[in-house]
Amino acid sequence: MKKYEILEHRADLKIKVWAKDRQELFCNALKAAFEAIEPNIVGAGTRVRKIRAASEDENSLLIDFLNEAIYLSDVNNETYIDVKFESFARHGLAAELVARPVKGFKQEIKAVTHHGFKIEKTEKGLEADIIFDI
Amino acid sequence: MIDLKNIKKLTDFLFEIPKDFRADMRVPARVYATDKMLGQIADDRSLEQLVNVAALPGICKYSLAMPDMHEGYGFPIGGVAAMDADTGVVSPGGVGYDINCGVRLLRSALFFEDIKDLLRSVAHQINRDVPSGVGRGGDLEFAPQELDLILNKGARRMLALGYATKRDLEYIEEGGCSRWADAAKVSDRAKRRGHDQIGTLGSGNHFLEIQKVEEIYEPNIAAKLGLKKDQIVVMIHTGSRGLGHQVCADYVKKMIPKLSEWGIELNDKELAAAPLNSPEGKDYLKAMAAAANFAWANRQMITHLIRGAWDRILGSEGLDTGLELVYDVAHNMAKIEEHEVDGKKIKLCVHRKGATRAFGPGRAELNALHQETGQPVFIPGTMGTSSYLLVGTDEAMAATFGTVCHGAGRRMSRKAAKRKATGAEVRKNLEQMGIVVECASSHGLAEEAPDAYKDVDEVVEVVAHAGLGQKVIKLKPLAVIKGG
Repeated sequence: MKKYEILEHRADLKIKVWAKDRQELFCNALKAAFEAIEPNIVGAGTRVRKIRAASEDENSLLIDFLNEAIYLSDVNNETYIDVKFESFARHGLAAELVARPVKGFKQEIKAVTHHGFKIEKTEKGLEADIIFDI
Repeated sequence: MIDLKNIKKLTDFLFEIPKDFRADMRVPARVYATDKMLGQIADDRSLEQLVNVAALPGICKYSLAMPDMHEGYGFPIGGVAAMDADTGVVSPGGVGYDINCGVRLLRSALFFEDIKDLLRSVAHQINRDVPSGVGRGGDLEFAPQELDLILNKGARRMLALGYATKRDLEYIEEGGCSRWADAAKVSDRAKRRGHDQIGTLGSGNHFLEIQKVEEIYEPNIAAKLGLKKDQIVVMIHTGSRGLGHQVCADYVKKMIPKLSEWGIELNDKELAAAPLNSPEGKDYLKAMAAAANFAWANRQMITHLIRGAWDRILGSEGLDTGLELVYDVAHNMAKIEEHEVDGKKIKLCVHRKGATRAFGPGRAELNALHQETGQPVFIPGTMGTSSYLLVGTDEAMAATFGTVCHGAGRRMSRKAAKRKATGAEVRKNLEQMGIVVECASSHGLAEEAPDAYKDVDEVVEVVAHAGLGQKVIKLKPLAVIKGG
């Protein structure tokens, strides 16, 4: 199954993400965001970055998770290539991000927006539309 | 999408979506444009976004959009909304993630003939001295206590640190220091993102340009602003970097869970807003003002770095290396301002998202010179087209809460721009036009190609014909310096 697709948007970055379940949706959205901005990876190694996110509603958790990853990426100069969930509930999660050090990206994500955001059930699982301010 | 048949033409340059278009609209929605531009605007969701803004609590008179309008998130880019300061709301999404993104213009004592053979060298030196690119920090890092002083004092703190002159401060909106700022309302996470980003340009549409005065429309005003034909100026476009992005994200997250408690119903969560008299609303204004101060400090540090580069290259040739501020103006802000509505002066929280304050002559907020001329406003074009200097008018005070557009406005997605031309082709075209390009990223050049934007001449004509701004000078790009 295709993991994501970058869609047309006049000014920002719009991504459609597909997955069989919520955990995979979060993982694919993370990969989509960081692949879309084209990291300049330096060195061969990986490191682990702990991440936590909590939200009042189920859908916003994906936005909060991605915003947290953008914050961590910005302050630690790294990109994320995978995620391993330690706990995953409707309103909160804890995970380890698999990180690689970077010297910048081709594009900058300022934040993940709630605009036009949706998660929908499909025959094969879930799909989400996400708009990033760039 | 909103059908054009629902839009009423008020004048050749002003259109209105009436209040009865949708049941939740509290006021009409107005757009400054030509018939042709309106057709393009209707291609995306920006009009729908403007209608959503017209439904926000406490909105006064109408929601407004400038001719550079295009689809954003929550508010459209080019959107303006004035909320009653007692009964209205403040929306972080109505300011945007890049708080106090803005434009500064520096005037040199030199003319095109003085600099034409040194253009490439000076552009290269500026590119070396001003860090740019995604996430890239600068050479300076500020400890937490010092960063708090910068957040509270903005460009004024840069004066104390030796990076500004007293004159600089007189030529920045609000003197480069918002009195509302409170560093304590900015999260540690935001501060962590910003501690090494003062004096950095960033990426995307942010740029530095060396330009020359191409045409003068109002010689008296140009002379008062110290500008002559063929004079060399430097334009700076950047904002509050990661710190501002985090402030916006933090407060959107704080406000969303409280919307039902406040009785605020939204068509788009990105319009999340808090009553101006609530603790969350007050805290956001203080944090936003601190991020605005950070942006003014950032543009001030970049000015300091450009002055160094200017001196290094041009000073060694025995040329006058002075660079003085013409003005520095924000185009992503919310401000408490007094405006006349229905014959009464009232306090409003004016949101400008991709729109520029353009106060007319006489406003107390302006320095003595600009009280005479009207506030200078800069409308950058693209890497290959003109930019403009306008001054605000009394008409803008009456019609748009003292606001004009902020640029040309995108008309093409980044994907579409990259399909149309490669970075190498864009670079070649610009060089053929005699424009020096200092940009390491082909990707960035392709996305920001001149064709990706609306015609800035048309945008400025709408503003001028509508009487919102008076054209003073046209600027031509000579060298473009950009991050990735």
